Order: sequence, then structure tokens, then C-alpha cells
Amino acid sequence: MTTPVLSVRNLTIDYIGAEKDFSAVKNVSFDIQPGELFGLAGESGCGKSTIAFAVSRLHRPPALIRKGSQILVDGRDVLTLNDEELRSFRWREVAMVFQSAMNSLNPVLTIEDQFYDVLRTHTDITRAQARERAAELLKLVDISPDRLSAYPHQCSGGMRQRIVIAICLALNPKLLIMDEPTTALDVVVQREILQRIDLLRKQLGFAVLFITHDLSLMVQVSDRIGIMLEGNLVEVNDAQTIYRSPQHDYTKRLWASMPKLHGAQITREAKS
Amino acid sequence: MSQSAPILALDKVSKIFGGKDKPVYAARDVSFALHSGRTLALVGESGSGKTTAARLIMREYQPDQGQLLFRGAPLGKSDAQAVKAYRSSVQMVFQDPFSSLNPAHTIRYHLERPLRLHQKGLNAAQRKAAVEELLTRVKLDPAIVMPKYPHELSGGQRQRISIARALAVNPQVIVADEPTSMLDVSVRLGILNLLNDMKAELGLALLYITHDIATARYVAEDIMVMYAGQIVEWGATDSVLENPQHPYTRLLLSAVPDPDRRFSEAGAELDQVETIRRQSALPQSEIRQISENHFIRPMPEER
Repeated sequence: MTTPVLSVRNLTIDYIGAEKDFSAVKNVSFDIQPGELFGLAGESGCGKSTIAFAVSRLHRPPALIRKGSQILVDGRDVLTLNDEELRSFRWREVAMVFQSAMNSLNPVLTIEDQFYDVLRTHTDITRAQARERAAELLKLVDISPDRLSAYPHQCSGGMRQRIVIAICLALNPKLLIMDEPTTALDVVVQREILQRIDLLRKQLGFAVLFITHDLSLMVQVSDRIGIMLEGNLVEVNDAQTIYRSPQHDYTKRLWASMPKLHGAQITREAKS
Repeated sequence: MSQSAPILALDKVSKIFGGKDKPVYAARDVSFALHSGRTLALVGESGSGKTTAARLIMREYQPDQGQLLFRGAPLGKSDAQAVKAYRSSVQMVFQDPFSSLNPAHTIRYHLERPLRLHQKGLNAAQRKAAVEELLTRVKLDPAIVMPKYPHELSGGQRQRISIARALAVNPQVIVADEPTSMLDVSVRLGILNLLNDMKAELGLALLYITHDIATARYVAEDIMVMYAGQIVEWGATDSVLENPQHPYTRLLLSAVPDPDRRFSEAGAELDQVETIRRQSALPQSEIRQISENHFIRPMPEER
């Protein structure tokens, strides 16, 4: 038995309100194995992004992680890290690609400087070495190293998204969290990026926590999938089982409400 | 499409931006027709010209070449009266149900407003009754919804309000620009079903603009694929989706999320994304017929 890269245990997160609290994540537990691509699916407000933020300790008040919750990365509880430990934990162990990641690049820095920023903060690296490493990373995501001197606005949305992914891989994290990484992109670009991720995780061995509301897409890329409903993780199964023989009623209803591209069409009484 | 005369048609319409020396065709030589009781889907990625087509129909843009035909008659820079009549016949449902309703007004106000403008004969009681009927039509409870403000409603409910608002002026054509893309999957189907019902019950002609090809298949009898301002392939939805002939259509279809296909089984098209994009963007006047109701504009190299 290998140690899971990520082990979430009894995670409960509430948003504290003036009158009453909103329970966003309810006693959720799951594991992600090294190199695995784990998908977390659900509709808006189901708590999937709240989990992603909690894993990298990016949650802010009024979000409150309740006592008894554990988030173990490689066996170490993220929730007990102090500020210094947290700084070295982020990027190095867990890196995160946000939904609007292509807009999270600094508009006044060149691509090279943005790589240098991360590398310099976390390693003793010279400017020249950083440049070399950045060029190497760009090649991983199929971008020519000439782009190092470009500014973000000179790159397309899909390219910026790939640059963010390259920066996330700069310190060889064990886990890459991607929260709706391609929602703002076109399907052709989306597919190119996700194929690239799939290739890279097999090549470099990192695990991925992939969050999206697009269940069809998730089945295509994930090894295993967890389905969330109103803060509960209602079903966890391998991707093909989630698609071909979903166990939970909610998973079945989700499929029944999605029009199909080929074959028999769904019936209209599914849900309205 | 050999049925009744079209309600609205675009005839070789082009919309050009930029200067004479470097023109950008947002729409190039676009022709299609909308028929009563039928849905035509317009699919393509962002920047392909889908929304330009919608804006041309909504008369937010004037065509630089070609013309719009409404019930067979060309629609020029006509007088205010004719424009108003056109506007009450052609209505739009927008993508974003959060920004397309005024946060400072109640739902009742939103629905009374078009009635005040387009049906001046109604008195207050008649208007209220008309609003109630509209809300019932889109399957919302008038008593509950009328006094509410947009922020008190869910995204799906708001999109129903947008549809009711469009229906308020008894239109013949509805242009729906990505009406479900901002909604959760479980409420999308309800909106699509509602549009389908309205089409059947009221004999509306629908233009359904989307990047989600699976939903296009669900609602539309006919489909057009647009890229770089040109319609590259069009025809009966099943024929186009089951037997795509244009390389760009194949590329687009191969990239659509499909749980029946693992990502590792990439289509050959993905190796030639750049070539296909470049070639498909070239102007192409030739049209090739594939079957009775299925056409493409072949890429120049295929000639």
C-alpha cells in the first residue's frame, strides 16, 4: 500500500453567518493516489471549490474548517502547518490552477519574470538558471521559449492557461489542483490543454485533483470521480462506473439531464 | 428545407470591421433562413461570428454587404415605425441572466415594460393579467414571482423571466444566444424544453446560438457550423453530426466532451489543428452539396 498523496478525512467546512452558519462541506473523506487524476464534480454551490481552497489552505473567513477535519498531504496534516511551513508547502507540494488562471498572471511582468518570481521564492536559483528552467517548462506545455519575453496580453487565453500550468509545475509538486481550469476556453483549446495535462502527469508522476461541473469531460480524463451534492460526497467510483452504472440517484439524475451528442437522446421528463 | 416561406432570412450578409487595407470579416457571405415552428442551431467557438450573426438580426449592426429579408421583403434603413414593428417580431434571449435584468426593478416591471411600449391599448388591469399569463407560460407562479427582484430568483428562474419578456410582444422569431451556458446542468434541460414548447405552441422560429453541440442536437432540426465568420457546414442536425464532412466540423466534434471516448483516443484532426484553422478561415465561395439537406464550403485545398 502506498501512502496517498492526498487524504481528506472528515472534512467539515462551514461559512459562518451572522444568524446561522452555512454548511458547505459535510464530513467529506476521500484519497488520491500518487499519479492519479481524481475528479470532483457537482453543481454550483455543492462545495467542490471550497474543498480545493481548503486543501491548499487558501480558504478565508467566514469559511471555517471544523475540528476533527484532517487534510493529509503525503501523510502530513496541512491544517496544522504554521506560516513558514505553509509557504514552503504551497507550490512545492501542492499547486493550484484557478478557474480564471489565465487572468491570474501579472500583466506588467514578462512571462520569464513570473517564473523567476516563483523559483526565486522557493529555491536558491540564479537568474540564468531560472531562465533555463522556465524555457524547459514552457516546452512541456508546448510553448516556444521565445515567449519568455512576452507579456500576458500578447498571449491567447489558451496559451496563458498553459503558462500558468507550467508555472505550477515549476517545483515538481506532488499534487496539482485544477478548479474548472478550462471553463472559460473553447472546446478545441480545452481538449488540447487537458490532453497535455494527462500526458504530463504520466510523464512526471504528479496527481491531479480536477474540479469541474462538466461530467462528460470528467469521465474522459479522470481515473476516479467523486460526485458532490449540497456539501456531501454522495458517490466515489472509477470514471467508467460513474458513467455506465452510476449508483447514487443524484448521479443518475445528472446524466439524465444532459443531452447526448450521439445515439439515443435523453427523454424530456428527466427533470425540469 | 423545402417547407413554408422563411420568416427571416439572411442573404449573403457580410459584416466587416477595421479599415479598407486590413478588413476583418466578422461575418462573411452568411446566408440562412428561419422558419416558423423550427429551430436552427448556430454552433462555433468564441470569435467565430455567432454573436455577430445575432447582432445583425437584432439590427445592432447594419450589414456591409448583403441584406436581411423579413417575410420576403428586404429590410433597409427603414423608418422608426417599421423598425419598431420588426423589433416586436424579433426578440432576443441573452446569455447572462444575471446582467440582462435590471436589479432595481421588480419582475412585474420587467414584463410590463414591453407591453407598455408595444401594446399601448392595454389598461393597467389588462397588463397585469398579461404579465400573469406570461409567467404561467414559462411555468413560474405569478403570485410569488411578480413582486420579486431579480436577485431573489435563481439563474434558471431569471432565464425564464428573460424568455417571458421576449414573448411579451408576441414575436415570430426568437434569437437565443447561449441561453443555458451559465446555468447548472440540472436546470438547463428545463430551459431547453421551455424553448421547445414555445416553438411548438406559438409557431416561433428559433435561432439557437451555442458552443454546446449536444444541446444543439437536443433542440434543433437544423444546424450550422461557423468558423472565422463563415458558415462552413450546414444542414439537417443528424446528418451534420453523424456524417460531418468539413475538417473544421470534425475537429470541433472531436473536441466536444464525450464520455464514450477516452481522451487518449485522440482524433487525427487534433494533430492538424493549426492547418485546419488556417485553411478554414480562407474565404470560400464554392458550396458543395452532400445530401438533400447537407452542405459544406470545402476548404480551398480540397478543391
